[in-house]
Amino acid sequence: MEPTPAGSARIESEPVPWTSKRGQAAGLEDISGQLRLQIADAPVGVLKVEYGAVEIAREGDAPALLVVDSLPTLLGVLGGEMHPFVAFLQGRLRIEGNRALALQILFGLQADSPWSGPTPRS
Amino acid sequence: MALDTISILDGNEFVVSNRQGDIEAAPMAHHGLFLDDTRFLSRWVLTINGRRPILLSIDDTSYYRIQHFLALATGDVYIDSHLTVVRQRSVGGGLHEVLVLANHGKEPIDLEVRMEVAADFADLFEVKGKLNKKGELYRHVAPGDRLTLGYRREHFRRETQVTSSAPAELSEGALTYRIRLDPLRLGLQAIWRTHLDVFAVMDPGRESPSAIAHRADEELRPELASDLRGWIEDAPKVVTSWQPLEHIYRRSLVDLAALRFRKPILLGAMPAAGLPWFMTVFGRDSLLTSFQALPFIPEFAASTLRTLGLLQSRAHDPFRDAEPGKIPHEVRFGEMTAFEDTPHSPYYGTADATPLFLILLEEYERWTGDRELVQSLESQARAAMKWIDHHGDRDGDGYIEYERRNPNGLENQCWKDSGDSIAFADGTLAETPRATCELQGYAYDAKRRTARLARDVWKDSVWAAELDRQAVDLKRRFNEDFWLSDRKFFALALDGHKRKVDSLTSNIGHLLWSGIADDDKAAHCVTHLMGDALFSGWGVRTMADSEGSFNPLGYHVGTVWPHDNAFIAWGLRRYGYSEEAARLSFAMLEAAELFHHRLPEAFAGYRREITKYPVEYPTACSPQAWAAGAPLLLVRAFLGLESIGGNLIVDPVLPATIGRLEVLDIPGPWGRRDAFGRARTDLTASARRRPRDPPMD
Repeated sequence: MEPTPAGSARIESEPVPWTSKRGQAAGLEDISGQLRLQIADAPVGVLKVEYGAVEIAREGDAPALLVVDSLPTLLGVLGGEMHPFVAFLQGRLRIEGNRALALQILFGLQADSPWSGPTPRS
Repeated sequence: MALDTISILDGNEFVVSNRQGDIEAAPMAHHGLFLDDTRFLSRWVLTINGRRPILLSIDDTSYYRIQHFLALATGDVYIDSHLTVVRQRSVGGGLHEVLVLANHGKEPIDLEVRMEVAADFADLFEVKGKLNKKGELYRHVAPGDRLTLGYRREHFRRETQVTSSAPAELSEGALTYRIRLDPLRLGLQAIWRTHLDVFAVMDPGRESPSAIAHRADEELRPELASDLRGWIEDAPKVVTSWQPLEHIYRRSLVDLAALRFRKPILLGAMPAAGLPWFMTVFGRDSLLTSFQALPFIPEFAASTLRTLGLLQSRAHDPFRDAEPGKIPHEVRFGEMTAFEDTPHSPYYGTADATPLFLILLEEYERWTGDRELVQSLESQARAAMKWIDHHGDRDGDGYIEYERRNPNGLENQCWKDSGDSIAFADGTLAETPRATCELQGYAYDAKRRTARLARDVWKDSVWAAELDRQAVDLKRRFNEDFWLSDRKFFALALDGHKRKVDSLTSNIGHLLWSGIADDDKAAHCVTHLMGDALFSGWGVRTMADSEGSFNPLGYHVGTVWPHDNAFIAWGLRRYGYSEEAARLSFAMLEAAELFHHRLPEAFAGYRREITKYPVEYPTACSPQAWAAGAPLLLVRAFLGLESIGGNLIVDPVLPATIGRLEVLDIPGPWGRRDAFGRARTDLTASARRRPRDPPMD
């Protein structure tokens, strides 16, 4: 699968675009699934997980949706620097669709950042 | 709960008021409307013409609604009132109150009816710790419409919105009605009423209040009444010649229904642990309550296993005392958790929830035959076992031990989690890391049970054989390393220097439940459990009165805990001490009868000879999930109910006072079946059986 930049202009304006963001997540080795990512009302991509291998693609089907308030929240959660439950309680994050899958993925990202070298935040 | 308060609840939402129905939060009065660990109402005080009505009586026959019958008294000695005041209240998405006034006099009366309102949005930890808020409170009055009380801290916002069906003068601190009330003799239209809605709004920016519809009739929350009827009808029926047991059983079912709650993060309804301080997910409490309830309400176990499996840690996280594979201890939803002032998002500071997760998983499969769920949790089970063997065993000595990594975390990460619970016989506190004995029992039981699942469900015979081998080795080592040969019981723990913590405690009863004790050593433990130092006459104390730290009012060093006793009774059955199990179980039920059929979280450990009534523990939670579940496990112990190979096994041993006991429509792989037992005149002869192996068919 060819990783592509996410579709949001806000994402693309980041110093490091999300092109080729793929990696290996130790906390996701028993999980396969996709999670659509959205900042406020703007879709920004799909996080694809395949038994530990992760990548962010521009498009794709996903049974679950992650909506966050801002780019820093998204980067923090995907990089394991902001706990998803904390973001949820602060009103910065919500999940729709397959909650169990979304939570497993988000909790798994807390184990270790899958983004070898630069993380989405860097 | 304090004796001068009264509560209604629905899951993790609850209202605590005084007996008149007023909410007046103060440092020593933990009143309020609480939802998700936040107090949405801290003041809700009714006055009429500047005076507070006095209480006549309370109708609290439903857990989610209550009626306070009041009167505006005019005399000092006699209640010479012409004004009836009724407050009908229910909880759900906030608070709904119908205020009803009726004039029994001959002339119209002019009244100023005032409801004072305030919300401090205190986090439950702020209530307990008397801490100050860090954000900003605000108020807003929409004339003729609603009063909004709000709180914000960065993105975190909560609001309380108050509306009234009758026109009211709204101010920032009260709703005021000025009414002329005609005599009731003029007709029912003279009755004045208003519907007051208090909406707890979690996300004011997005969420519209989930209004409870105003109802002209007086049936509050009819959907809950219907749900409760269904819940009780689905559960097995208990029929017995000792009537109090039927009441106790029904009370347990109602309390467990009341404590069910659902959240977006939970995969099904789970039991909240206890009112008022523990109305949230607790790993240990949910697992043990689900175990107790399995033959009666298997749904709890399914939700608990799915949810705790979902929340199982996948990370090393010292702040949350988490390591991969660990099952959570506590999840909170309030502001302090949101800003990581506390680590409950979730907090993983428990060493027993992980083996208990495996124990419940195997027991669940026995009682339901639901292999699909077991299949779906295989990776979680493997991760849990890996935690037991690696992260749980911090120093590689083959035992689970704990020591907090978050300095604000729990010092004791076993069920006796107060700071003074793990002490030597001379009262000296044990140093950490601490390896309490029951943790090793749970690990042993978890290995044996997981071996069966590995063999029968996951088809991994190699892993199954390895787990069996580990269990045998653990049992052998434990019986050598924890045994106090001079006192003839198992040490409470090994401390940080591997010294045996030599207090006599109820923990040894859990070793019987788990099956780790050698038969000869178990016999000594039974003698201690039923001896005067541990057994108060009402139940087994958490600590024997012979020990240096004993205190009959000490939370974990002398009080009697019903759930503890239920598992001890079940452990006695497991080793064949059925007479002792029946004696202990019946004593606990006698206490329940005297607690108006509801066992509290804990009660005082005084000797029965000095008090005809068990003495309440001042701050015990009630209702409390595993206390509510205790009678269910006691009933199971009386009848010796087991599910083995898809068959219901019944092996009754009853005390003489319970002459006959039937449990009808027990669900299981067999569909629904009945169990029946009668007391034998020669209980002693029939009860003493050979110790038997744990049922591992």
